[in-house]
Amino acid sequence: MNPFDFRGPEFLLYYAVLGVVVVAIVWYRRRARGSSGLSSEKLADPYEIACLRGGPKEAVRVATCALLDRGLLRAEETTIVAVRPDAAHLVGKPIERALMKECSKTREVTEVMSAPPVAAAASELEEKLIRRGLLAAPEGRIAALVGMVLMAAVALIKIVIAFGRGRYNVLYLVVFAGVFLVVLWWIAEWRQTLRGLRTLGDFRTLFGGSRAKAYTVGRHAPDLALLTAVFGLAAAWNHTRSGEFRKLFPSSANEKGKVTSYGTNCSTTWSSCGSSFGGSSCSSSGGSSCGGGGCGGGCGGCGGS
Amino acid sequence: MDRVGLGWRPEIAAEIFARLDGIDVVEVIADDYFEAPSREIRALRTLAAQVPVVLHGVSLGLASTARADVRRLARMARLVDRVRPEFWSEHLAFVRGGGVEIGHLAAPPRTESTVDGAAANLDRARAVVGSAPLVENIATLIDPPGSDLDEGEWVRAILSASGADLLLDLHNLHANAVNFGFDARDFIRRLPEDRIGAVHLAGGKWIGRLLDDHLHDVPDEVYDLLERTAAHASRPLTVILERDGNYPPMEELIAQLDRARSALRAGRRARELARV
Repeated sequence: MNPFDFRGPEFLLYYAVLGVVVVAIVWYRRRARGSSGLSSEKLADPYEIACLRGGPKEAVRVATCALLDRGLLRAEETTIVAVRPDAAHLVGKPIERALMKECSKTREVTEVMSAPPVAAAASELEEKLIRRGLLAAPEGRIAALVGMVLMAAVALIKIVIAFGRGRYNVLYLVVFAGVFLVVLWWIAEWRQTLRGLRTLGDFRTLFGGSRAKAYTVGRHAPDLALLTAVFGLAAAWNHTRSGEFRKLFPSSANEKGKVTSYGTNCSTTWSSCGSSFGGSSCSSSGGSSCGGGGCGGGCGGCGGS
Repeated sequence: MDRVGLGWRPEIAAEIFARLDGIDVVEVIADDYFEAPSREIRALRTLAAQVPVVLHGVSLGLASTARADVRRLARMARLVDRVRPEFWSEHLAFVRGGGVEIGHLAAPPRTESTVDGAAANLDRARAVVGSAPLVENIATLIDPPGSDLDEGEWVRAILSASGADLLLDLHNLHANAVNFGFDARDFIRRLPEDRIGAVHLAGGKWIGRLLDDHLHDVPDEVYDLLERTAAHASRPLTVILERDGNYPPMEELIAQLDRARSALRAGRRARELARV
């Protein structure tokens, strides 16, 4: 019984069952790798987070902005240079060291980003994330690719056979094939694994309330790196040096960020003081009949925490 | 080993996270997450994977002759189950009465009845949540009318009747001591030394009385009380700096944590010397 000899409706049913089985297998393998339970990844390095979100080059971009913010690099238009030739020893992370060494003399930022030592340090971040199951290893994509090739090949063979027999009513088969290819493409781990995506989502949720801050140069380097790592360089567009960042990385200048979609707890935040006391600078209520002040607080009036 | 950390607030969350090398523990307000979508709970789990997390409740109203609301306790139980904090805490206050939410952490009359009520509610909390909270002394601008006990006697009676441990809020204690003229150091000295599990630090402002508003830096007197607490307490302490707004640069908050560490070390040294 050759399935390619099935008549139209029978073949469509056969193709649909095959497609569902292939999608189920690919999905199951993805979930098995990605852990379906709650995520609990230990991941605190901003450059690793940047790499997880946007790849090795994004880690370099974030590191560059952080070093500019810390005053260790200086930018002029599209070039960067270390403020001191020996500044590499002032930084601790390999990607920062590589950047500082490459910037001992003034260079175009694009040149620095593709310099082998910088690329190697950034790739090391990527490999670490692959080892930890947060980024997809190449083999993680194989199941989806095999599934896509299989579904496309089966449809194509049937179409060729149908055309050879003078039948041209293949529209439903083309639609079915299209749907399965899109679904397989969708569930394939092209970059982040399910666990990686969840971890990124968790960071966006945790730091959504911190995005609206105003920066002061040199004061906020650790959280500038963290926020740009999690949300992209758009998170730094209210930084005093955002003009420099935009000139260096114009492709990131159009990033809008997703601040509203990530949400914050602001609207519902309790202070540890009690409900109507406000207690967070973004709480709306603020103050109470028994004390409080400024943008929140006021725990002491009728009992504090 | 004593630990020092900060209250987790959305506005300074990134700054806290970016400086975890200087922060041993974070305290999350539990009530913010009672009705949170699962992605926010999962995010808390991820936070707990990076740094020890403790949960702090503000709305259970345990220090009351009225029964604690089992639905609220169940929410706390679900959160504790999902986040797995190192411990959870709640205030020795009442926040509702006769079906009316008063929106404050209010000090109940300090009587045998409220001691019994608090102990019964803490039993209920233990049964529903699976563990008893550390209970926190609160600040008040008025001495609760109808009280038979002073604050120290009342707190000690609740600890004794319930078996719960104490989250000693030193700024609340300092504010009450200033406002009602008692000796905060004596209050600490009379506490059972093995029942102090955690400490809150905060600041306040003078409004004719000392108001605990969490918007100002920790005053010197509170560091002094922390040193005395460390000299008195036999267990490792988890010390949390609470700041709810008017945020200074994070370096200043970290400096306050460092000062708290110094006070803890000095207190522990004094305790060692006293035992020799």
